[in-house]
Amino acid sequence: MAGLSQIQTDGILCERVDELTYLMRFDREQHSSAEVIRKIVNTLQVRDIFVEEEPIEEIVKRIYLSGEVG
Amino acid sequence: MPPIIEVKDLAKEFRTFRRREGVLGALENLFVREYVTVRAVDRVSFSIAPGEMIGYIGANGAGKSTTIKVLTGILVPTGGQVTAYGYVPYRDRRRYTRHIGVVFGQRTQLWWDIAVIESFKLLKEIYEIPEQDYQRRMGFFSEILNLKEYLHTPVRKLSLGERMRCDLAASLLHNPPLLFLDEPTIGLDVVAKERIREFLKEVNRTERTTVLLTTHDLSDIEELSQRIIIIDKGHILFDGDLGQMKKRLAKYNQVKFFLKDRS
Repeated sequence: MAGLSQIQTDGILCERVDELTYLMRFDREQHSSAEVIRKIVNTLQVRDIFVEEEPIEEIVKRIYLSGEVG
Repeated sequence: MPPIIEVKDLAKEFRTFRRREGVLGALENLFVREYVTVRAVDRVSFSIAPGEMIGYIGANGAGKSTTIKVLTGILVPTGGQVTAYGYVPYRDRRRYTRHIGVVFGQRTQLWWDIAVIESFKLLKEIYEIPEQDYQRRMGFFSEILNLKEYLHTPVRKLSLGERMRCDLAASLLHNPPLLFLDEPTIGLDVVAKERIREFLKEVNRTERTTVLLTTHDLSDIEELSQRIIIIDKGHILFDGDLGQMKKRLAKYNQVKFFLKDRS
């Protein structure tokens, strides 16, 4: 997908869900949601957009895998 | 308010012997045993205030069930101190169990072949529950858990969700101040889960019952508890407010977006 590579800079990771759906994950200390959204809508033709906190499952998974907190 | 549960440096070790494989190995097993000590729980400490509803989570084999079994008096700890409702569970087991309710999601404590209502009547006698209290609580449970339709059905004919509702009612019949639940929503569909959660909230609110529950379903925790304790390999990794956990441990935000279909 052209344009995606421009957004994927330091600390921003993009995951393709299907042809038209993407998930962009970013370090919340490094980037603000507003900044990331701005980048996305300025670069791509977006129909719809949602922002979420990291799901609790993901946090817990990280804790289980690393065996430590933080 | 003094804590209702106090756990200090709890440790539990299991000694198992390593089994060798094959016929020769099996023979050797009879004569030479090599023992391995496994520390299921290692210096775990926490305290719980009356009326709290706590989610106790961890991967399989993390030590959750071992903790619950020590707290309910089934297992004797290898080290550390445990008090609950003023008792030492494994030592004062007989007197202590009158004050707790326990549900293990994987198995039922009801009598398999008899009607649910008969199990309840037996429990009424066992716990010496006064008739008036029994009637009042049965009324309450029947109403919010919707038990009426199958009170006369034998337990073996109930669905998992129906059985779980009956098990919960049975565990609370004697109105214990402490309730331990080991995976109460395991294998249930979304509607059944929701009903159980609503019930637990109601009991916690009206009776101030202290609830400690283990689960793998994190939505249980989000729905039910303010506080979560995460255990891993026998150690506590996190103990605190759910909101705090998100604030402290969430590293990422995520943006999901849909592109315009150009075709």
